[in-house]
Order: sequence, then C-alpha cells, then structure tokens
Amino acid sequence: MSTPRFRFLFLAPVLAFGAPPDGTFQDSVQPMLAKNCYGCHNEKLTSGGLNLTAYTSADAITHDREKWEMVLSKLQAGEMPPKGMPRPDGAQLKTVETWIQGEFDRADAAMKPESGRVTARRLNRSEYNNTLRDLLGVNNNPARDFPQDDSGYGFDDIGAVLSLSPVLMEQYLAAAEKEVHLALFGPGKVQPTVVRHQPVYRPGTDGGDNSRFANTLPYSLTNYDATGLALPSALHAMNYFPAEGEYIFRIDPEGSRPQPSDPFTVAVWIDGKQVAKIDDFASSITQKTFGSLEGADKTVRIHIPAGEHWVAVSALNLYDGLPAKYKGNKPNMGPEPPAPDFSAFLKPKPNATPEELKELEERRIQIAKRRGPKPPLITDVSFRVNFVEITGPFEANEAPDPESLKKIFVCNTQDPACARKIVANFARRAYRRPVTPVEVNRLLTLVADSRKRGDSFEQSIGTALEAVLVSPQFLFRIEHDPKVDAAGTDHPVGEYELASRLSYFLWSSMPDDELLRCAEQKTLRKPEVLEAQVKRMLKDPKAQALVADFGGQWLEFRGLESVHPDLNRFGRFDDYLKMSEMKETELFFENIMHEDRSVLDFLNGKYTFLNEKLAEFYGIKGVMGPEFRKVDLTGTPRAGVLTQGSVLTVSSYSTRTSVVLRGKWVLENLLNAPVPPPPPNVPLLDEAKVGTSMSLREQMEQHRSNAICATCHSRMDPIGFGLENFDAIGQWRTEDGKFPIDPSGTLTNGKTFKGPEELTQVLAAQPAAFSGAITEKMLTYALGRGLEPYDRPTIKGIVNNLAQNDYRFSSLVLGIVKSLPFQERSARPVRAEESTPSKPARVLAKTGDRASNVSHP
Amino acid sequence: MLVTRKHLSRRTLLRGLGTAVALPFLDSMVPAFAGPSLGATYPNRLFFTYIPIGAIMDEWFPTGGEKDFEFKRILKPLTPYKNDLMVLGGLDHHTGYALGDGGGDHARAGACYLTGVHPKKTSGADIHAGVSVDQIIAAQNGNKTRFASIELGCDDTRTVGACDSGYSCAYQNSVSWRTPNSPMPPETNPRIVFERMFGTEDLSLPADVRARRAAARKSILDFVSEDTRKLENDLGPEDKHKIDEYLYAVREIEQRIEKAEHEQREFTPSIGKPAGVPVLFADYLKLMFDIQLLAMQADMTRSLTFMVGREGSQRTYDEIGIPEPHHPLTHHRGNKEFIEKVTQINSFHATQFAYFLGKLKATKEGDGTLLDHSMVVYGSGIADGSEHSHVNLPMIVAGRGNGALKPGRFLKYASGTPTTNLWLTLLDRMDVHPESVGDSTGRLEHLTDI
Repeated sequence: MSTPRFRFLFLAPVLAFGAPPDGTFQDSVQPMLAKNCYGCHNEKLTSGGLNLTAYTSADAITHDREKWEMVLSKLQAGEMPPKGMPRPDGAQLKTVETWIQGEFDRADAAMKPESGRVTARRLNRSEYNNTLRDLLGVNNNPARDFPQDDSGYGFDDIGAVLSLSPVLMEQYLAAAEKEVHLALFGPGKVQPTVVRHQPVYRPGTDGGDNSRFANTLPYSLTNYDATGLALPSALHAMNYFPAEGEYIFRIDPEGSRPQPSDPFTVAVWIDGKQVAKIDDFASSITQKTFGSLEGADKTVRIHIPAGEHWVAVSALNLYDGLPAKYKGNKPNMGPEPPAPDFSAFLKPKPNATPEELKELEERRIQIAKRRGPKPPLITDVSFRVNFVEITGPFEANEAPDPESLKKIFVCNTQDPACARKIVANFARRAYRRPVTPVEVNRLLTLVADSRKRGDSFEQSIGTALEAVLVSPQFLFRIEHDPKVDAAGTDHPVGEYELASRLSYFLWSSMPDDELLRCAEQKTLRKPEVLEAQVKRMLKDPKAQALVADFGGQWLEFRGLESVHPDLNRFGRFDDYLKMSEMKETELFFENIMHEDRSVLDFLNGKYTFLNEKLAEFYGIKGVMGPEFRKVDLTGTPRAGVLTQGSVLTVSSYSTRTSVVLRGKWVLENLLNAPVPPPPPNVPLLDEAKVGTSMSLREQMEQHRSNAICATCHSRMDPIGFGLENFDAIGQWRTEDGKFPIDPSGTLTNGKTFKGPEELTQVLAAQPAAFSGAITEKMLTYALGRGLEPYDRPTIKGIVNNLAQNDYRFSSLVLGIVKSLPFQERSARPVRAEESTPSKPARVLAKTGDRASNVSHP
Repeated sequence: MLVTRKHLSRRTLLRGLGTAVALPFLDSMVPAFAGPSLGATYPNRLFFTYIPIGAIMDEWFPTGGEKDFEFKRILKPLTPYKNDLMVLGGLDHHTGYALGDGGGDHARAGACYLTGVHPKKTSGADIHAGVSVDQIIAAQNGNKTRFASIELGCDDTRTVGACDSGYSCAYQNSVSWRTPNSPMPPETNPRIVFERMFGTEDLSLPADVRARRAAARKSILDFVSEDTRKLENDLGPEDKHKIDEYLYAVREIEQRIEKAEHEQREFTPSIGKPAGVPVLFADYLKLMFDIQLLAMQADMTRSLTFMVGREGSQRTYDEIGIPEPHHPLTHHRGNKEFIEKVTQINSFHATQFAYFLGKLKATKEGDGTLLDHSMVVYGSGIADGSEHSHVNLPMIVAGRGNGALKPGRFLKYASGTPTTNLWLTLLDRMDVHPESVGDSTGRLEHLTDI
C-alpha cells in the first residue's frame, strides 16, 4: 500500500530555539519510541519504509527532515501508533511532539538563508500584453490566441515551468508583425465581420421564459431595475472591436409582451455607459394578439472605440406601460384585443375519420382552457434579448494611434542618425537594459536590408522593431551571473535586473522610464529610493495587474472564466452575474492595496463592493444601478473573500457545493496548510440522495468514521460545512433540498463555530497562519520559482515584519522586495548535475498543486 | 524485422538542431497531389483521435466473431463504416498503472498513451514521460510536409487549475511529446489552426508586397538565431534549456518557410476560415475533423493527434441533456444513471467520429479515397473510468493505410498485449522503424492478413 506522502508546516511561533539540546531525547523521546514504535519500525521490519532505531541522537533527526516531519504529523493526527496498539499517554506524546517541533525550529533558525536561482522567465500572456501596451501603445490583447501558459506552484510566472513550443514561437512572430504594423500604420483596412453573441438559454420548467425565476424574483412590477441591466432579460458579453469605427448592432428579441402595452426602449451599453437606444422597440410587434416579439429585430449603428469592451443590451423601464390589469406603472388604458379566432383550425375536413374528429374535439377543449381568465403575472412579460449581432467596422479609423507613434519616433527626420536613435531607444526599453553599439548596429543592418528591398523608412524601422520583439532578450527575463564562479555564494542582481523584477512583480510589465533612470543612476538599491518607488508603483493604475494576476491565481477567481454551473439548477448564473462576481473580488483586493489596509481584511473585512445585480443576488437592499460601490456588510453573514460569490463558485462543482473543495481552498490559500491528494478508489458520493433522502452531512459520515479518511477530512470538511449556507454559485440558502443547513463545525485545533461569520472570526484569530500563507504565495509569485527550505528564514522575517506593521499590504510587498532572494541570486552551481534540468524543488508547502480531477465529496 | 533507427533521445534531437545545416530537401518527396496524373502511391498518414476517460466497455466491444461482428450501442454510429475499420480488443497500457506511485491515473493514461512510458510523478518543472509515436514519425519524416506534426484539441485548459494527484497538468493536457520533457500543447481554436495551415496572410495583396514581407520575415529569423547563439554562451544550464526550446522553435519555423517556398501548387481549402470555436460541441468536433481532412488533402502533415478532451475532461454535455461534468460521471461505481450518461457521451463522440470517417471515405484521392490512404486510430488510455483500468482498452483503427491494413474485422488479442506493439506495427506502415516504443515487445500480428 502506498499512502500518499504529505507534510504540513505549522509556523509554530513560540518555541525557545537557540538553546543547546537538553537530554530530552535520551530521557523522554527515545524511551517512548522504543516502547511504542521500535516494534514495527526497526532494522528488520521497516514498516512504511521507516527504521526508527537508526536515529540514536538528536542531531540525526534534522538530517532526515522529511521523514521526521512525517513522523510528527502522524503523531499529531493520532494516526500512529495505529488503532489497536497500545498508546502512550497524552502528556508523553505532547513532550515528544513538542521536542520534534523544537528541533525543526532550531534547525530553521540556524539555517543560512539563500537567495536561490530563478530560471530565465519567459513573458507569460498577461506580461506580454502589458509590455506591448507600454512599449508600443497597442491595447488589442495580442496574446489572446497564445496557448495556455504552463503553471506551477499555483502561478503562471514560474521560470522553470514556462515552456516555449514552436506553436507559441509562430504566434510571437505573427504578433510582432501585427502589433508593430498596428502601431506604425494603424489597423489599415479592416474587413467588416459579424460576431454573434448568444447566451445559453434555458426555458423554464413550464416552457415559459422567466418562470424559473417566478419564486425568486427580487423585484416586482412596480419596483425593479429601470436600467434593465440586472434583469434576466438583458444580454451581457465581452466583444473585441478590431478598429475604432461604426458598428451595426442587430438586436434580436424573443418572448412576448401582453397587449395592449406601450412600446418600450432598448438600450445598448458599452463598459457600463449607455451609448445608444432604440425607442418604440415593441411597436412592430408581429402578432398584436399574442404580443409575440419574435422576429421584431431592430438595428442601431454606434460609434465604438477599438479594443475589448463589455457590451450590454437591456430594456429600459420594461414593466412600465403594461395593460391596466397588471397594475404596474404608467398603465396602458387601451382596450384588450379580441380573442383570437381559431375557427379555421377547428373546421373538420369533409371526409374526416372518427380519430381525426376526436383530435379536433381535444384541440377545441385545449383552446377553450387557454382562453379562460388568468391572473396577470410578471412572467407574462417574457421579453429577453435572444442575441446581438455586431457587424463592422464601417468607416473605421485607419490611422495609427498618435500615442504609439510618440513612443516609437523619438526624432522626426528620415535619416540614418534618426533611425539609429529610434532603434537604440526601442531596443533599450524592450531589452530593459542599456544596449551596446554592436547590438544597435546589427539591428540597423536589418533596417538597411529592408530599405534595399524597397521598403519605406517606416517599414524598415518596423522590421527592426519586429526583430526586437521576437528576440530572446525581449521574450525572456535573463539574469546574468558574474564571471567569477564562487559556487554557492549570493550576489546582488544587477540594477536593471532589479528594476525588471520590481516592475514585473507589481505591474506584470516592463520598467517605466523612471525605474530605468533609477537603475541607470544606480540608486535603486538605496532603501529610501526603493521604498518610494514601490509606493509609487502600487499607486499606479498598472498595479491592477497585481490584482488580476496575483490575486486572480491566489484566490483562484480567474477560474470564473471557465466555470459552467448547471443552469437548470442555478438559472440566475448569467454572464452579468459572473462578471459582477469577478469585479467584486477584484475591487476588494484593489481597495486593500490602494488604501494600504491590513491584509487580514481578506479574512474578515466587513465590507465589499457591489452593483445592483450582485446586491440583489446577495439579498442586500438599497444598492441601485450598475456602478460598483463600497457596501458595509454589518448585519449580514458575509465577510472577507471567503463569502464572496467568486470564491464560493470556483470551489464548487457545476451541480452542487463541495465541502471538501471549499475546505481545501481555505487550507491551501488562506492557512498555508495544504492537503495531499486522496487515495485511489474512493467510493462515490450518491448525488441523487443529497438533499432528498440524506443530507450532505450524513453522506459525508464516512469521512469521519474511517480513521484514515479522517486525518485529512477532519481538517477540510468542517470548514466546508461552515460555508454550506452558500450554494454552488454563492447565494445564501437555509436549506439544501429538504434538509435544513447545519453550518456548525469544529476545527482540528478545537475551535468551534456556527455559521460563516463565526468561521471567518475563528480563522482571523490565527493571523500567523494567514500571514504565512499570503507571504509564501506572494513570494513565490514575485520570485518566479517554488520556495525551498533555505527560504524559511526569509519567510519568517517577512511575516514578523508584517505583524509589526499592523499587517499593512505595503509592508508585505516591501518585505518581499527587500528580502534576500528578491535582491540577490546564487552564483552558478558547479555540480555534476549541470546537464539535466534542475532537481525538483522541495516546497515547504505544496502551494498550488490542486487536488485531482477526481471528484470526491 | 529491420532495425534502421534507434529510439531517438532528446540529446540527439537537440544536437542535430544545434548546427545550422539545412535539412536536405528530399528528391523522393512526392510533390503533393498536383493532379490525378500522378500514378505514384500516396504517402501514408497516421492520425490519432483521443477520447478521454475511456468508455463503458460493456457497450463498447461488439458482439460476434472476427468478421461477423455487430456493433453495440456506443459504436453503432460507425455501422456504415464497419468494413473500413478494425475494432481491437485486449490491448493494455501497463505503464498507466500506479506501479507504486499512488493516485493519478488520468495523468498517467494521457502521458503513456502514445509513449508507452510510465511518467514521472511530479508537479514541478521536471516532468518526464517519453517521445510519443506521432513525434517519432515527425522527427523522421516531418521534413516531407509543411508541418512535421499537428496537435489539436477541444479542451482549452485556460485557467483550469486542477491536476491529478500530484502530477503536473502537462500530463493530461497533451498526448503528444516531442521529447520526454517537452509536451506538445494542442491548439484548440479552429481559426488559429486554419491560419497556421493557410496563413493569416492577406492573399489579396500583390505578389511583390507578399514577397517583401516574406523576405523580412526570413531576415528577422536569421537575426534572432544569431542573437541567441551569442547569448547562450553566457547562460547557466537551466537557462540554456529554456533557450534551447526557443532555438528549436525558431528552427522549425525556418524549415517550414523553406518548404513552403518550394511548394508549387496552390490548394484551396473547401471550408471557409472558421471564426472561432463553435457554440455546440457537435459542431466544434465536426469542424476539427474538417480541418484534419484538409490537413490530409493538402498534405500539411502526415502525423496528427487530436484530443476530443484532455484526459480527465470536465466538459459538460448540455446539448444532449447532461449538465454534469464528464469526469465525475465516469466514477460510476455501478450507478445505473451514471453509466447511462457516460454511454451517451461515448456515443456522442462516436457519432462525430463517424462523420469524420464519412468525409474521409467521400474524399477522392487518385483512384481511391483518403480513407484508403490513411490510418486513423480512435482510442483512450483508460478503459473503465470507474476502476481506472488500463487493460483491454478501447481501440479502433480505421482506414486501409495504402493497403497496409485489412479492415472489417474485430480482433481480440491475448491479455497482456501492449498497445505499444500496435504503435510499432503502425509505425512500420509509416516507414519508421524504431527498435521499440516504450514497453513494446514486438509487432502485432493479424493486422494486415492479406
């Protein structure tokens, strides 16, 4: 049997290390091992591959750290000695556990921190986009079609893991050509194309359009979102507009509107702002009697700037102007249309058979039923935007962006001297360091050859720019070692290399002119300059990249892009809700960063950022309109990121919640205590029973009753149960099917809680674990490599510094930036293993190795 | 049994590419299908379609004997092509089992499928599998076509974080491995694939403009190659490895440009350029099969892998009424409802594959059809998804392979027969003769019984 290996690292804060080993090993530990362990773990019988008799002194422990971490964890979990064997008493066990941990801490304290080495880091998709934006002034998401970046340790910026396939190289070449051309010459003649956005649609259970919302509508005919954006009838999509110009929007409606009603207005929104409207939308209702909107397409021509924009189409004041019997606002007092005449359908054929006559009679009865009096329902207004087709661009702006030209053309004459200036300036910025005359001359040869082929001045410059953009000096962040090979010693990275590390950490982009200047003047290492630069960079809008790239991967909300909740069960999860959930968490992170708040707010900040759609979804009143604003969460059960829709959705399955996934999410991302993968052949959760004949809690009993399962699941499940009040898309509920939710639980440290609020409080009461977690994650992201044992002292230092500064966000960032591994680099090792790729990094905590695709409850 | 080429090692590949010698343009290369006047035999193609997480095997294998077999539910859509394919039973991938490594059958299934190698259990940078069959072909014969190989897929793994039990995501994302450390990521956007094959180039531009662009491209590639060689002297081993990947990629592209310049004929694809990924999965699969058809017709490549989904796929099949993700359903443990749903998914895949076979059969090539001149494998590295079994795998070989195969049969091999024996045999038909592939023990008999 091969049980998966695991170890968890508890950053035990208070133990006296530094003191010489007392006789505890000989007096207490070894006797206990001899009595309870040597029987199976000896030279002959190496159960589990462990021979404990081999350790005769305290020192021997620290040499075999991994094995002893396993011993400690099994003792702490009560897994060893195994059930049925005599157990030492609690006090004895505690002595041994404390002693082992103490030895670890001593070793850590005595460990010399090293700076480690990062493998050359290829620009990932986000970094490529941002760098091209800063270098060329182009904003059209050039990396959109690049293949997925490989990720490791939870992030896609790990140098050793990122690979470069021929496919990607081709795309780099194509992108360089396209983007340089765009910057120099503009989009040129862009062929109009048609893009259709048609959200997946599910009819309600009775065939009606909005009936699936009938019981959960948070609005009424007189009190509803007048903009229509938050209503299920709206359409939301991201669309890429290849050039600035005119685009024709064709809006195709579905559904019906009871007659007689006033026509309504449909509005088109770009990035949350209304840009066009079509009045009299329902004036051309095709069938006045049924009020069907089918086929009543309308078009509108709108001027749109280039780039990717959020497009929304909604009905304004949808429920105004309805027939009087609906008792809505501004009722239409016109007469009801006459009942439709079905006599044509009901006329029997001349030689009708008895069966055919019977069929006709049934049809007559059905029609009579339908014509009977019905109460007016909100679901009668079943208008929705079926799809929107965007055709264009027409009369596009074909000229290049003046901003791009400014960045490239640092002089205006078309002569060799100017060509040299342009190329040298571009190469310096692109390579992120000074360029040698030799390098510039080589690039100028390309320019000259291009001219010889008949290209214009601009075209020839373009060739050189393209070459720069596909050079490994641009695509990779390469750090150089000094010529003297003193193996194992650390040396500071170069000033320009430090500038790049800084800018790619905080901006996922190249250093700007100010940073490059500091590097040039060799002032970047001065503490006051470094701090000032970091603070400046965090305030810059480019720091949004830290939110999207670091935050999106640490909190996993990037995963929202690819979740597919079952729309039959979770009909409210439309594109707008998804976009809103993502925006909420982004704004939350951004706020902590901009206001330099305590990072503990991630755990229990009692506020968030909502628009009307999300507030309605969360059941929070008083938030109107599509703009996001800060909302106080006092009086609600929500706090911190753990109760935000994004997190709750990415940690669920498409059809139901998972206490295991959520517990795992918390353990890995917030508490730095990841869990190992499950053993193979675990039996299934009976999904059909959940909520119907057995509650989820009862189903998970097996996790507790089986001792082996319990070692990991007693850590994960309680947390997940504490969040069970939130369904698989983050909505509050008090019942799961027919079972009331019991959100109580006990953590392995004994703390109890009832409900998500108490859970977040209990988690926030251990700031050490959280600050360890966020530090390790951010350090991994900043360095671009997995963390090693010699990073432990570094991490401890950053965590202490964070605590001493009220856990402020900037002190975490500064702690990382000032740390040894960020500032320095180990010299090239002169070992035999040089010819093979580096050995696996032994991570402290397996940050980011997600659980398997195996779905266990 | 001829032994003409040893199993390629990574070092060999890299060393070969370190030199700047252009690979020889083979005179014996068949100038592709300039017209029906060409009486020569057509080169063989070997295309793989990989279905994730196996199938409900009770409904997979036909009933009946070798020649008089009847399809069961899953493969019923293939009935019109019964005489154009072979159903193989009894093939194993022993290297897919844990063999002491614990959980992670999906990673192993994907990684071992075309390599026959037990992959290294790691989630870090040191992934290690083997060289896959399609890349073995590409390495030897790749220079005969515009693309040495093409890798296609339908599961965009963008931001999908979960990976199998401590194994790197790379193991599930690709079945194609150029070297034991370099998986070939599949392209999932049909528009991009199309553009790769037929160019993003605006073919309406005047020829001299296009020529100038082509010259500029070449000079850029020369420039960066030289730039990189200078850079390499200064680098540590890990950085060198990264730059090696870069150099290989540049070289690949240079070769492709050279090849394209020597090609005389114009080929007009029968479908217009796709806009992107279609909404319905059935349409998506059909489109990807259409593109594979084009690849064959235009002789873009003779070695191709297509992953209907990454191994362990979580795709939901709403369009056939299955909102649950695929993978958890395959852990049916005997649950009848789950088994039914998985069977429907398997059948759905087979229906689209039948579309492909139909198209191949309907496309004339000389005096035969594309199906006569190719070998298309349809299978998986896992048999039963609930037990994670890797024996008696679902495996179909369609086509006649230029007379190399004798289809219309259901062949049951003795248990323990390695799938890699099948690969070795098919490689023979592609005129590639390694001594062994992964855990192969020899050739597979009866495939060609003529």
